Amino acid sequence: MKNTLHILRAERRLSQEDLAKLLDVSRQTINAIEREKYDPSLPLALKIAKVFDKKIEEIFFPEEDR
Amino acid sequence: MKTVLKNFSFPYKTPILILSPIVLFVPTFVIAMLPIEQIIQLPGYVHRGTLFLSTFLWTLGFIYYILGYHFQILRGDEFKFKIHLESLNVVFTTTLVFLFILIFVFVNFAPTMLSYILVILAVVGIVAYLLAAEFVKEKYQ
Repeated sequence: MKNTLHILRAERRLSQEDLAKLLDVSRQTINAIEREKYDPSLPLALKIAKVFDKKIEEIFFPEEDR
Repeated sequence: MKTVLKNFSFPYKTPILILSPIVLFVPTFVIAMLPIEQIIQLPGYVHRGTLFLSTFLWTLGFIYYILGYHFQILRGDEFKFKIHLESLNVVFTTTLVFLFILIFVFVNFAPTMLSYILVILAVVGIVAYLLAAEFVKEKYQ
C-alpha cells in the first residue's frame, strides 16, 4: 500500500513525533507507515485522515494506482 | 473511536525483573556466609521455609512481570503489537522444533535430562522471543 503521509506531514510542518502524539501512537509507527513497511489498521487510517482533513483514499492507495 | 490506553502505566519492568532473581538467590548467599555446622543443625522447616519464601516471591514477581508485559502490549501501540505477534509466531515454531529435537536427543542419549525439558524450552522460548523481536524490528526499519 502506497501513501502520501510524508508529503502531508511536511506540508503541515509536523515532525514524526508531533504526528505520533496527535494520533496517540509511537514515532516508530509513523516512520514505518511513511516508509510503506507497515499498513495501519482501519481505525488508525481513519484517525490519520481526520488529522489531515482528507479521505482515506486520498492518503492511502494501492500500488498500481500510482 | 475508542481511545487506546497507550500510556497504560504498569510498574512491571526492570525493578521486578532484577528483584525476582535477587530474592531467589539471597538465601543461597546468606547460607554461604554462615558456618556450615550451624546450617546443618538448623531444623528442616527453616530450610524448607527459606526456599518456599524465596521461590514464592520469585514466582509472583515473574507472573506480575509477564502479565504486565502482556497488558502493556495489548493496550499499547498497534505497530508494536504487530511486532510482538510476529515474534510470538517465531517463538512458537522454534519451541515446537526444539521440543521434538530435545525429546529425540534425550530419549536416545540422555534420559535423565527429560526432567529439565520444560526449563530448557522456557529458556529457548525467551531467547527466541528476544532475537525474533530484534529481527522483526529490523524488517520494518
